[in-house]
Amino acid sequence: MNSATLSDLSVLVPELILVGTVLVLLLLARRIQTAPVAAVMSLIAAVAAGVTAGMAVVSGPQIGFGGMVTVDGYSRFFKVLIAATLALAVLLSVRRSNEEQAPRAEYHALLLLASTGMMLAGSALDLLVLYLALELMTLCAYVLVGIHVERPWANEAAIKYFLLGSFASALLLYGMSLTYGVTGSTGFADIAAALFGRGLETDPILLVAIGLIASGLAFKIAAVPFHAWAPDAYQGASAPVAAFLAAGSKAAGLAALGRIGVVAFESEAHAMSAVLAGLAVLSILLGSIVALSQTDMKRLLAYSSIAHAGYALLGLTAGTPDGASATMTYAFFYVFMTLGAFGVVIALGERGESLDGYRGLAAQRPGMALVMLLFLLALTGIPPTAGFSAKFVVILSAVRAGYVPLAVLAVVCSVVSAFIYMRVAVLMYMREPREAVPPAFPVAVSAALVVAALVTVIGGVLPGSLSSWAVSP
Amino acid sequence: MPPQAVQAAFVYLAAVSVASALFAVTRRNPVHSMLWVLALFLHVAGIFLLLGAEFLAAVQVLVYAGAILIFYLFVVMLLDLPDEEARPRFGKHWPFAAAVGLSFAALAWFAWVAPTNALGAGGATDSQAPDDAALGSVAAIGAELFGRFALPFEIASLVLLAAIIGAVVLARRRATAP
Repeated sequence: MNSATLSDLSVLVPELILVGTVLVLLLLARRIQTAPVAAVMSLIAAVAAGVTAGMAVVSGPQIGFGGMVTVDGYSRFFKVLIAATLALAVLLSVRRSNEEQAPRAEYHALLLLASTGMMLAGSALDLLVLYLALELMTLCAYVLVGIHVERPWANEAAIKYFLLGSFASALLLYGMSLTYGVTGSTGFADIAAALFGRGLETDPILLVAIGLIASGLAFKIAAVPFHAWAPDAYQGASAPVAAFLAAGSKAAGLAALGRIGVVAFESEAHAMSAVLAGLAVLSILLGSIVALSQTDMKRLLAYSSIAHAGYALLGLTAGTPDGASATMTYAFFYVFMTLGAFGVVIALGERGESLDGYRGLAAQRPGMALVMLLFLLALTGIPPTAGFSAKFVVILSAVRAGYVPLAVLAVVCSVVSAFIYMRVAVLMYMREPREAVPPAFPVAVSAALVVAALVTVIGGVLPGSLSSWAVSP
Repeated sequence: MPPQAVQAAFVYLAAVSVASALFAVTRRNPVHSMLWVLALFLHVAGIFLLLGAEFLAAVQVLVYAGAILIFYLFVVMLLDLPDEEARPRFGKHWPFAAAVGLSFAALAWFAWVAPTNALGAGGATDSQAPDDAALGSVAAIGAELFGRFALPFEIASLVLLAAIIGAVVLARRRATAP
């Protein structure tokens, strides 16, 4: 019997910071309903968690709680990424004072708890911890989507998301229990050891288990055919929540998929690759094509996020450490691109929700139009933005893994997607404005936009800046 | 407890379980049926206690009697009770349901009389039974929960915290001030 010690807890410092802040927020909830105190506290917690996660000494992987969680380069990468997502989401949540507000303390507590779940998902070494971490994330996400109870469409989105999400959780759980049945363990290392030398021929049920786990996780990253929740949830949720979901849920799901694929199912990499390649093809195709016909900006970004889930999966289909590293790079830059694009939507308020609202933006607010153009170029994957370097590494890893047709499809769909994003750019720069100049937005939103834009530019100019960081498990 | 007392307790619990299950199926009033199911759950929990599975007994009462049954009762309350009572108690498909029930009973009987030759490894469980008794005890489960599984246990508590916040947030009254 081993009981938890301080060294076990030291593995989870960033998570403990977030949870501690949640408890303080809840205790003070009555006093901070209107003040921006909650946002400031959450921001401090996010920065503190990111800094402690980034400074964690990685002199080789360190495990805690009897091998349930770990601190290694992989988890450190995702913890910093999720802390950044949280910080930007908190900044984007700062509203104009006259707007209707959700309960501030509870809203931020849920954001922090969801981030805790995401961080744990990146560092889990055990199916049990992974499942609970993802459940923590999605449970908070359901509530965040429906937090504006007075809006009927938010309720509808939350209920749809909840029903589909419960279904996906059941798939994931079935896959995990089958894996436990075949290998007799829930720890990733033990699963890999039990599977070593045994093929799918001796345990065909393992294929079912891998398929179910991949499906359950594909739901979290909104990959086709488990994408149906994303457009409705993003449209119904308030824009900051949609941005947080698009960025954070994807990062956490990819983190979990990467570790399971590379560590637990290492010996079955070909089966995992086949499943992921199928998901990637469908996501890229459907995401790029359906986005063409969208007129709602949040739905457009939702389909864009579906396509990007497919691109991110390209790296994991290789089933190699290099491939996982490429996916990590992709996830990193995608988070900032999509948070930036959502940030502009938030800054424009009501006007930013529909595509028509972008008419003539360049004439009215040249700075904001320029920033939006940057994010659109990045989402398309045009150099010199981070979107190009991110797409380059995942497509390269797909080619190296021998998935040449998949790589060709990815490039072709990138061209198709250029039409989607450039449509917005054309509206901004080549049409006359129809609506009044948008009102000023809070400084916090501008700060978030500046950070996201900087990362997007730096990632494009110095494409290798992440390579020493993005170490696969 | 002397073996005779255990035997007597088992006979009582088993007989009442079967009887309340029958009543649950045959009562006209759905609320009465639910109350018989409650009696069934409590007596099955008693059987678990006799087997030394205290944890299972507690979970049986907490989860089944405490949560799931109440959930069913809520649904029953949504029904139109007088209309429901006027209708025939069984639908047209009752022979099919009875066949499923009987085949399950046959399976249980089969598993009981022929544990070794039918299920192969099934026979081995008999010899392990004394060791397994300690596994189901509250002490053993508690030690596992706060030892090896401390972290998942704590994360589960966070999940519950999130659920509570969610319930409070979603069920709050609309702000009266504009």
